Amino acid sequence: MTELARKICLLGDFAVGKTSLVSRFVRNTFSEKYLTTVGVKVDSRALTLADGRALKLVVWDLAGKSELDSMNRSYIRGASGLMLVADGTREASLRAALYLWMQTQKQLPGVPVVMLVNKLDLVDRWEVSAADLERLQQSLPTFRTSAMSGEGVAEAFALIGERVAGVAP
Amino acid sequence: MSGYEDLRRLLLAPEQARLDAQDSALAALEQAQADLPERLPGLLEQAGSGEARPRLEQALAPVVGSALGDAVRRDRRAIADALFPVIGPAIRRAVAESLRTFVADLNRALEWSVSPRAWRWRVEAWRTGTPFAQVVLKHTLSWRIDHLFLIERESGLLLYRRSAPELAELDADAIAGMLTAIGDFVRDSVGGDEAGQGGLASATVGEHLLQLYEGPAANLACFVRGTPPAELAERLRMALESLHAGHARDDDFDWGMAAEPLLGPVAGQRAEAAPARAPARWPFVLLVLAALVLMAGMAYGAWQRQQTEQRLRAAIDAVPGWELLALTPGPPWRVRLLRDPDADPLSALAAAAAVPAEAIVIEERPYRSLADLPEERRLLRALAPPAGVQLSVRDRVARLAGHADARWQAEALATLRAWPGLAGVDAGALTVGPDPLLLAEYEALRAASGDFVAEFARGRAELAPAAVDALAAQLLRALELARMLDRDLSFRIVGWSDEGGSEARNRILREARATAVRAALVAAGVPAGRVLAIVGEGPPARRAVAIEWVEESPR
Repeated sequence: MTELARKICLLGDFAVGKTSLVSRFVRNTFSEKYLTTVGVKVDSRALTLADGRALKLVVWDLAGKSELDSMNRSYIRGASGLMLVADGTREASLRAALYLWMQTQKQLPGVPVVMLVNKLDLVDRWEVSAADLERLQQSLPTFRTSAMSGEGVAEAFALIGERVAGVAP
Repeated sequence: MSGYEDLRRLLLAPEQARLDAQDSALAALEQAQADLPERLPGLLEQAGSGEARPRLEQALAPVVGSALGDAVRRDRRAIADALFPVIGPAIRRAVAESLRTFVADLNRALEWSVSPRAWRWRVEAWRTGTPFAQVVLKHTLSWRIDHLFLIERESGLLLYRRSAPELAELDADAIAGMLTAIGDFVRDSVGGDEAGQGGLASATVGEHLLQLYEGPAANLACFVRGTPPAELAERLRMALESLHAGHARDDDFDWGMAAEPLLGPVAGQRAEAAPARAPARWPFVLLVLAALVLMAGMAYGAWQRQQTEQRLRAAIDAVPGWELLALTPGPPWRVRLLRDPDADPLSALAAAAAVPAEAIVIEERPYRSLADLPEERRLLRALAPPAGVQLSVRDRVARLAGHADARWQAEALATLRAWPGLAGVDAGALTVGPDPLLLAEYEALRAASGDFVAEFARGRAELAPAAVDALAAQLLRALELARMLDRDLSFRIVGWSDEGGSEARNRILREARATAVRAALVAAGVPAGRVLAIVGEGPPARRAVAIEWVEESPR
């Protein structure tokens, strides 16, 4: 295929809203039941890059887990980018997302990563502080997102698209 | 310092010279070994082609074997990838051989087919020299490729795709990803090895078939509708191997460009079966009729068997002293029963049940029945009742009627009362003494035969041939009555003459006449021991004989 395509994986703890984020953004070919059976659901999204090229993002939404098992390691094989998803109302989920990222380092060294801190619509109940987010932003691109309103989601996907395509640094 | 150097040179000059010489030798040795890597292939070729080859092989065998084993343990996938182009054809040959065997088996299974269409296909198979089963498959299979995906093994990204134009657009990238994920899931679930072997190979949903062909760098997924021929799998595997061979040669290999000439023609393949003709109805009607006839025949057979069974049971029930144990429907009908030895013989069963005798197999076991008839037969044999006594058994009660002497009656009653199985004895109709009717007849015969019989001509002793027939019948009846009345009876034939002639002559004549009558009576059946010819003594009487009864009564 001459069309540019890249595989990205969504990682995050249980119930952080990964699937809801994806469902707003992708084509939704498959049912969510695959998450509880096979442990992953694959969808795609076509993007147009800043340089005008078309990019097909193939999004592997992995079932929420705080640790990578052997099955998940199979699923992240060949990924060009990672999207880490945390729940702003649960600080532990942020640490879980970072721990998951750390576990991928050996298998996917240096791949582009973005962090999505979800449930912006419940910001008044957030446990994750703004200061933490500032510090996090210095290490990796971090987006505040809301699966409910869609805020921040397209931007996050656009950035990971630019980065896996080699357009953005 | 110069003094010190001079002194040192003087003291150590020999040692220095030896060290310099060793340095030179070492440098020369290193120089000689420096080009060893360049010379090693040549040296190995030289050793491998000469007489030293066996020794070289022997020396290298353990090292190479150990190194290969270590390499497999360290990086199994690399070895698998390297062997992929070699193993593929070998597996294909094995599969082709299996398919040939399968086709041969199918061929045999279809041999029975004798429809006109099958015969046409046989002619085609014979004409083209192909196995019959292949011809059948060619005419009956309908299939087409819906989608053909070439998927990067590592990432699950789509490298190349062809779909049937009439199908709706689908998210091929997502499907390729999910196929890869499910393949990983299956492999992980069943414990596939690290080299990625042993994963999902095919899946079937209704008439849709998904076939997966794995390669080291890319997998091929083929969505087929219907039943594809074995050649399709062969072509896809060969295409995948060719793609991998190209990938191995070119670092900038473009899978999409390379796949189009290999997979494009394959993806367009399809086979539509000849449109099915409206099925003729006559085979169905014939089948239904045959089924109806068969069912009617079976029903009639069942009804006949039921009737026969009922007749057999009725015939067995009707005979006292037969008890049915088991009846197995036939033919041959197997009858297992108990039979009293004094009951009717079993040879009568077939006729009574209207079943051919050869259609019945009888297994008989003896027993004693308490039914009236066998009991009556047993009692008749045991008691031997005299003439004039009737013995019968009804409702297990023995009944005696007639006349018998007191001794027999006493013995009979004692036996009957002790007889097991009898409910009672009824001897009310049995009287002691001779039968009055018999006695009257006996006396009447005595009176009748006492007269003179068989008149003779004067001076003659010859009898007319039938002259004593009536007398002989009377005497025989009298003897029978005497036996029934338990009397010992015999007769004296007394010869007589008239008064003419001398006494001596008359005596001779009288004797001759008595003898002639006796001979005639004996000739007519009267026992010789029961008749005695004697000469009448006394005054002249008639030219005849007289019959005198001599009896001792009762014995």
